[in-house]
Amino acid sequence: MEDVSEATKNINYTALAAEFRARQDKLSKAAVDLIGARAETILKVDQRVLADEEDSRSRDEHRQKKGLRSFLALFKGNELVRYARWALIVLILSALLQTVVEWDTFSESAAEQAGIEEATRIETFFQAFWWAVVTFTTVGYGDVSPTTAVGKTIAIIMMLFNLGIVTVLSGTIASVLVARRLQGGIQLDPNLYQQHLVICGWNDTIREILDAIAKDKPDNPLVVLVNEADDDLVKRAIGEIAGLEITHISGDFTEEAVLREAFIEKARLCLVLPDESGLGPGETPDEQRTILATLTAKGIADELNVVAHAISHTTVPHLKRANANDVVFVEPHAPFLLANHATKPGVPELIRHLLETSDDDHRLAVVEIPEELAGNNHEVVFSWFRMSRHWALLGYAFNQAGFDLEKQMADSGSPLIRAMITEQLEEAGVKLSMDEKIAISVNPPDDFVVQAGYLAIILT
Amino acid sequence: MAAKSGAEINGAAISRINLFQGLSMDQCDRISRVVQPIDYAPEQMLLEEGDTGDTMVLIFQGQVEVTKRVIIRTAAGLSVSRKPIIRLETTDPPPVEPPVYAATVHVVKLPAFGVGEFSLVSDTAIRTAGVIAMTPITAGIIKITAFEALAVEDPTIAAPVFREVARSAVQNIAIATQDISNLTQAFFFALAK
Repeated sequence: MEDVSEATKNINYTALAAEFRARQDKLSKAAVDLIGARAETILKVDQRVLADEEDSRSRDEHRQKKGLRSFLALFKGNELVRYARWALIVLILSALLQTVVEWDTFSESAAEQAGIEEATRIETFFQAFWWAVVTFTTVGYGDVSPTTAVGKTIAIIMMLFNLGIVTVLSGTIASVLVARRLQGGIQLDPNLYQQHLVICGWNDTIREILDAIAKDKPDNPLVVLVNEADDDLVKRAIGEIAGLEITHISGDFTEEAVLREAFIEKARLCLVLPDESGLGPGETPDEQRTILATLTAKGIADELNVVAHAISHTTVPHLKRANANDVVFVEPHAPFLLANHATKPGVPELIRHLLETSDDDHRLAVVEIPEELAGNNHEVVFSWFRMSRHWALLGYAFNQAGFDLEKQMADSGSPLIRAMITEQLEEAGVKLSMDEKIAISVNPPDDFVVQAGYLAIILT
Repeated sequence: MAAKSGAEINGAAISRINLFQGLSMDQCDRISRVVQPIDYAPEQMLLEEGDTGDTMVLIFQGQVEVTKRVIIRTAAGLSVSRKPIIRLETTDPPPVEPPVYAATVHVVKLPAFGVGEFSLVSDTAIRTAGVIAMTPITAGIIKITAFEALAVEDPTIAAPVFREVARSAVQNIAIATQDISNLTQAFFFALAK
């Protein structure tokens, strides 16, 4: 206990709170990454410590910026606007030329309309411009028209130009509309969609998942749902969830082009769920699509964190082979829970209590350990959390280093054998590196040394 | 078929072989007398991997490719393939014509060199790699019995040659140990997936 009081004495609580806030970024990322491991241990960052007014203000600013940027993006990249610009240039040029060549014609008609003797330059130009627009749009009122041979020649040239421009313009209008329709009316801003969450597939659990995520107030509120469910159905089922900005992309999530629309390569996490869109009552989701989506997502971005939900145990090995970073398969816990009802009553209730996120008083969470505590043993850290926060420290989460076979072999042994190993493993579809992943140590012995960078798994 | 060569092998040619560089000209002359000259045409095998042999081949002119058999997986299943490891080429004199195939591996150039040197130590030494001619080759064959007779006659011939053979053996063992370690890692890696 001496150690504990020494450790707590040296820690400035206000400074710690500030530090917590500064590390909010890192924490939120870790939390959302860990949501995938929910079946084993629900790990959550207790963001209540971190959330404050500043957050909501910055989110509002972010939303405003997003609106402005997407508006500008619409104009920047739109073909329609490009052709319309050309059309306007042709109109103005023709009107200017006709004003000069057919000065008499247009000044006369302008003067007549204004009921004056002589028209001004602007009135004359407006008449010429009026003639150009009427001709260009193929309306052709005929109230004003060129009379001289030169004016008529200019009109012929303009009308020929007009044929091309009008055709392209109407074609572009149609194609822009069709493209928007195909994309479900959504075009995401590539500057905004970074470190976002992508959820592939549609089923009843999405609302619950989103609620659970929203409750933790993630740092990046952008969520993209990719599925073939009807847009209205999705909107009805999800509604508005405070703290999240949800976009629906309608399309086959096993297709690369559709996933790229969701900027999956820049996402921080991709959840692949059993897809129930378009299924009739009693029909079960096709899990091959879950595997295919995982393969496609990993194919687009190898380093992307993909967590898949399997319903059948036969799908699990396939998803692992498809390089899913984690596979959530809840069914194996059912026999355990049922058996515990018989032998250890209270355990299933506790597990359910911890899994349900509605109780704010007692939740599982993952928080950073103050740097000052690194290097101490578990007993000291445990006591610190208990005394200063009234939390029970259950264990630790830490990054397990990745492994790269090629790096490991470097240039040792004969090049022939090295080349054969890499060639044959690659051909067999075995990845030559293992990703870094989160490992946990639950209730370690008292002398377990807590390293810097470890996260504490706590019960609030 | 390899043809008996009419070319004369003298001490100077022997002294250019890396294995015999520690010997005097007189000793090289004596070795040259027990070397049987032989010529190989391009694409002819000098040594077959896996064979046991009691002869070492001394290459005075030309380029050879050293190959190793490896089991590879192809669409049709597992098959054995001969993979080139390295090419060796003489510089004194250089090959009379360019190689039949362009090299896909590193070409090491030496004044002259020997292959199958482990046969000087054991008459049951297994050829650890195959050697194939890439250009016309002027070579000579030395039998373990002939070399042993020379060594009995003049023990100072044996020491520098055996030291070279031992050095080469030690290098091979070190590489083989690393290969085993790499293969073991790859094996567990494949199993873990």
